[in-house]
Amino acid sequence: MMEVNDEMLMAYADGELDPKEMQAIARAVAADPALARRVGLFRTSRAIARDTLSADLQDPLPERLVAAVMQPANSAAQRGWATSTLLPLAAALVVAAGLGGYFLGNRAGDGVLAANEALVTALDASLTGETLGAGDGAVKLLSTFRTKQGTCRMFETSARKPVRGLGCHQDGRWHVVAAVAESGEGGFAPASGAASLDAVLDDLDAQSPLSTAEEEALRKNGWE
Amino acid sequence: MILLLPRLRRFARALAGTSADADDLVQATCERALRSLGQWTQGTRLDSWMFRIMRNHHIDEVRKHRIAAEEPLEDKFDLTGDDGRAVTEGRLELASVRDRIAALPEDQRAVLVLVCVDDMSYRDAAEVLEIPIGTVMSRLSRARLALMKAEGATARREVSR
Repeated sequence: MMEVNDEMLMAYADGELDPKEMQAIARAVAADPALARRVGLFRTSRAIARDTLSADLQDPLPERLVAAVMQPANSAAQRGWATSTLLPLAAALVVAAGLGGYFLGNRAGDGVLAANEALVTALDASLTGETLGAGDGAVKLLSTFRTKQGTCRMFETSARKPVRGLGCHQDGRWHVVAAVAESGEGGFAPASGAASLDAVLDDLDAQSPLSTAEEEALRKNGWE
Repeated sequence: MILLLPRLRRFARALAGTSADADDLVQATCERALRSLGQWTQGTRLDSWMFRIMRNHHIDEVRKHRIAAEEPLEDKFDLTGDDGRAVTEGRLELASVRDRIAALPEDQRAVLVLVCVDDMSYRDAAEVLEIPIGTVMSRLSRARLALMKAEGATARREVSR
């Protein structure tokens, strides 16, 4: 027998139990409205905490913080990817946590994310303007650029927290070199979001977006 | 790293309370992280690593202050972050949730932000805070019940604002 306490109900609400426990709690909750209400409390608390504090992400960043990150770091010299592309270290070290579960478990070294399967498919197959997949897994392609990092494509996911990112094709595979989560109220926070992707594109010496015809030619050529 | 700044600030506010202190904390964290970037293990979460640096730095700072002032920092919470901006009606409810979050003990607030707002798993949050998962769960559950003002939450004192 298993005692059902608040912590287990919370872990159930958060999807943190193993499948067997999830089933057991689901049965208990289905049989007991009081337990179901308790689970509801945990679900709601998560939502209101997120909604309340997500607004903070839109606050403009003070200059001094941006400056603190952008300072030249000598230790960067040993880090291959960052220096080989002359990206400012800070821009190269982008992490996709907070992007929901979208990229979880797909991290590669050097802060560059290995793109996950759905994303790879979209980056490989879609032309700008096209959306691949539906619901949480959908990926829309926004633009394609030739850069010194190879072909880079800007995409947007429609996960619970939409994410806009930049995937670059290098060594025969896609790498997510930058990603930014949507700020909450239907926009990408300008201070930290879209402006940063633009900054990354600038650092990559991206030229103007490719035409559909150019994209099709590149796609035929495996984006090389 | 620059894309992490908004989230670092949010976590810093959870730890430090006032916006100004939080920004100091973020700046110190970034400087420390850049200095010791060699210690970051490739392939692991940069955000977790930086959150951990931030938390450790914060603990150091609090210790320093405790020695200097012997007054705990408990009552300094100011998460409202309004900077004197007018509070419109739409923000009122937001403000009351903020107040309740601000009234949480710092330990609980940190877990709440990592798990519920930053969507970290219990395990990741435990690694950032260097505490057992069981502790993450008990703090998190207390924090969330307090937020909902639910019966059965371990009674926690309200911190006056």
